[in-house]
Amino acid sequence: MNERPIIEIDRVTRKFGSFTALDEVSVQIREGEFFSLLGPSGCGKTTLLRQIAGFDDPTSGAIRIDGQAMVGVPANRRPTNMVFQNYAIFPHLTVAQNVAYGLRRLHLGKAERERRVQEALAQVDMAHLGARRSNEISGGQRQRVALARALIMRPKVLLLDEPLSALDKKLREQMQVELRHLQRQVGITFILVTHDQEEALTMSDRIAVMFGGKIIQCDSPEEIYQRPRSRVVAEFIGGMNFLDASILSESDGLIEVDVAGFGRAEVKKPADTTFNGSGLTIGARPERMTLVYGEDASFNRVVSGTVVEASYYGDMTYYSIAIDAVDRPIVVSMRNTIGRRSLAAGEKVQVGWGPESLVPLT
Amino acid sequence: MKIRPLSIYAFLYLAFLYVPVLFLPIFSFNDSAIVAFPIQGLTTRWYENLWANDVMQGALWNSLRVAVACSVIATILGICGARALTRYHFPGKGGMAALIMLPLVLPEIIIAISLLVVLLQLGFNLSLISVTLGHILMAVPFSIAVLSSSFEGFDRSLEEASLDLGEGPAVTFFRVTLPIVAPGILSSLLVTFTISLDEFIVAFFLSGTEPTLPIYIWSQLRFTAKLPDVLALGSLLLLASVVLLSVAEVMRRRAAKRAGADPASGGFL
Amino acid sequence: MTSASGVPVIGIPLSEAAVIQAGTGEGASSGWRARLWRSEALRGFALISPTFLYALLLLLAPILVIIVFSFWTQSYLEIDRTATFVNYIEAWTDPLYRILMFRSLGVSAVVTLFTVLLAYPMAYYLSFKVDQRKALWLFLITIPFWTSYLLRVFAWKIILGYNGAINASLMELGIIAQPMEFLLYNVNSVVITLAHAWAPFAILPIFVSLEKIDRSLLEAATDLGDGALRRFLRITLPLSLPGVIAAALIVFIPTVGDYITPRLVGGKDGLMISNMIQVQFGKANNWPLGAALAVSMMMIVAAASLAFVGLTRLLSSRIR
Repeated sequence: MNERPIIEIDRVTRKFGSFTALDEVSVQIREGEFFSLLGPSGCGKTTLLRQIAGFDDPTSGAIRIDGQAMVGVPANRRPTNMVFQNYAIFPHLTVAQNVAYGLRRLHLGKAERERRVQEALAQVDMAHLGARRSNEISGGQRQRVALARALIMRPKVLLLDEPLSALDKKLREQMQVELRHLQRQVGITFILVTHDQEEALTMSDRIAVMFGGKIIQCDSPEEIYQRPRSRVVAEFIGGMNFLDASILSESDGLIEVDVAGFGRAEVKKPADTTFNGSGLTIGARPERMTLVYGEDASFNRVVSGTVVEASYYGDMTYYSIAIDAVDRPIVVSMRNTIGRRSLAAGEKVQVGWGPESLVPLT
Repeated sequence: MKIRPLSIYAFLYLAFLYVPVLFLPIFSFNDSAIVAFPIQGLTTRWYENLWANDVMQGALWNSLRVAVACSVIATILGICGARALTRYHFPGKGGMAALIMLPLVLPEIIIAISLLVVLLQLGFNLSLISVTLGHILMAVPFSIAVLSSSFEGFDRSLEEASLDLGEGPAVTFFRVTLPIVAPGILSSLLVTFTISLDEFIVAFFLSGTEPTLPIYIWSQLRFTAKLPDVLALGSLLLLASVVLLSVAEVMRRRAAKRAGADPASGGFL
Repeated sequence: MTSASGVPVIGIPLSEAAVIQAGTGEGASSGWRARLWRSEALRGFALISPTFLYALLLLLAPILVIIVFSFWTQSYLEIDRTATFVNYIEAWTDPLYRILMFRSLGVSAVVTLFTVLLAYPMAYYLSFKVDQRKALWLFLITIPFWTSYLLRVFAWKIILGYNGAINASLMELGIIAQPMEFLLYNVNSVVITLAHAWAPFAILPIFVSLEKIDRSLLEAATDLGDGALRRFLRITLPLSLPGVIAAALIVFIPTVGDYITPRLVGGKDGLMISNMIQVQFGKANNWPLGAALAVSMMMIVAAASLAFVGLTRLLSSRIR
């Protein structure tokens, strides 16, 4: 993976009448990266993808692919290829003819064309299905055909528009692994649009979380998950408890906070942020706290609470705990490991926490 | 299906629609020059007469020429119109669509006399060409109606995929759009052909010395002796229309299925 | 190494490929012109223009010409282009034309009424009682309409005539001794024939609007206590009204100007305004008068239609 940006999105804005779909979006995507655009419906992620593909033009701003400005370049001339959300498999052509579609302009010989088609089909595990038509293959198979058809063109960038949303859960998980594997193998930059946070977290090198036409945060999956910069991002990815706190003092990249109902702690101040006033919101992930069953003394900070509800998820149980001096119950998750007893509603517990449980949010 | 008053009504209604039409073939086999009950016996001599009838065959040839020209041109114009109306948005779209579809609701005589006046004032002679021009005007709305259902259900991302893979808009149209819409186009050709073949009043006003088949039939209706011949001809025309239209319907359904739309909906609407 | 069309053959470094791809072919130029051409609106406009121009030149323009023509006068073969209302005065004052016009309107109104009334139950049956084969039924209903109008009218001539099907069978059955004369060559036959001819055109709009009705509305009404008739009157009928109006207009407007039916089965008493228009363009050779009659007909039909639509709107808002 080089560091050179293969795609530069420079203050791209797209307005539809009075509605702003993209608001001065800027981001640089590196060559060979698996990059995801993540966000709820209507956040602009698909709009941005289509701008890169060339199916739409920005109202203002510029897009550069490998240093070349893309303004005025139509979709069929761009070095990108797209896997469409509903796959867009040509119904009047066979699988092999679909995959070979873009090769016509290269005027290859018949033998060479067939060789490449077979190669592409083998790459997505569809080697013996070349003669079938789109209504004779399953949804997952159609997705592979769409992939093969795009990859055979050796684009610089592969764009994927929610490619897994139409598949059922098991197939989706399987395809996530395969896509990641494929990307590593082929080495091309992938840009994935999805509303599924797990998908983005699993597959990406970097994620851009979008909301209301803007990129709120752009980081690696771990950074996004562990250190969300804002409440919006924190809410969208994973579960999160939001606690009120006040800043007591600041020094040297650290801030001392007093979290209502919990106590004091020193946390790292996130870079490039300023807090207005002394109040702030602290985020705490359910799995970054624990329930202390009495014997465990490794947590020197505990607060008391009562179990309100327990939600069983097989490998985990999510406990809703009411803490004194905190208005809403917090959620703490516990793995159902050997020997661990399940708690029932009404039981009194201790919640163990530490400074590493806390994330300051703007 | 339960036997309820409404279903009885439905079947009676269907009978009401078809029975009058069936009288034509019935009497075309009647062994009598008088078109009246009771039936005198069966014969095919009226059909045999048609074979020797040069004038009628001349009129048939004229009608065929007009119908072919009309169907081709009307379908081409219909493809442009249906595509523009289903795919694009532009100012004035509603007004333009209304004008193009207007012949569906205007009394035919208005179309006939307006064209007559204009063509003569411009110095054109009346001929099969003027008839063709009038027929095209009337057939285009039907062509657009048939093709719209093909274009409407058409998945737009198929064309985008073709562009994405490197083809320009024109090539995309020929490699992707046209093959998928082809049955709809065939259907449009058949429908417009049939409309032109059957059309009387515009042809009546706009034809010169060469009659079309309906005009020939009209001229024969005065001669009672010739009536059974006309019935035979009419029955054949009826059969041809029904066959053509059935094929058109099958084609339309296939087009709808190919483009992903529901073939059981709406028919020609 | 590039192929003939300028597209890179795989093998060159990707960066070079980008330069070649971006540099060749149409649309590589930047700026407002390329954007304009790619704009949806302009392409749609260009696409519809041949069809639109055709309609403009051969429909709109001729109708405008006819309107202009109606203000001129013609004697024998000479056309006098001084603008005058003479034709219109004649069209509106001469009792013959008045009678024909009123008869045309009356016949159309009656035909429309019958056709729509008869069509509604059929459309209802199709929409609510038929599950599987709707398209097939629609097709069967529309086939007769697509065949030659001329022949269908002629078929009715056979049925209604002196020796026609009805008379002959009734006589055979002994119900009547003499053939009935009133069946053919008068207004009645025109009405019957037209009602038959326009039936399918009335069914389709009503069917479409009935199909659009959300069935769960009816289920909700049942849940709230309405019986079948109530449900129909309170929900189905009002919601299908747009379709009924459309059907009425689709039948009414062209029927006023019908030529073939009155000519073939109308006899002397059943002639309508179009027959007179044709006479003016034919034997009587007074084209401007024919044009004036035609324009008058269009105006009256337009006025009647607007009145009809307005009236139904008024009534339906009262009902609510």
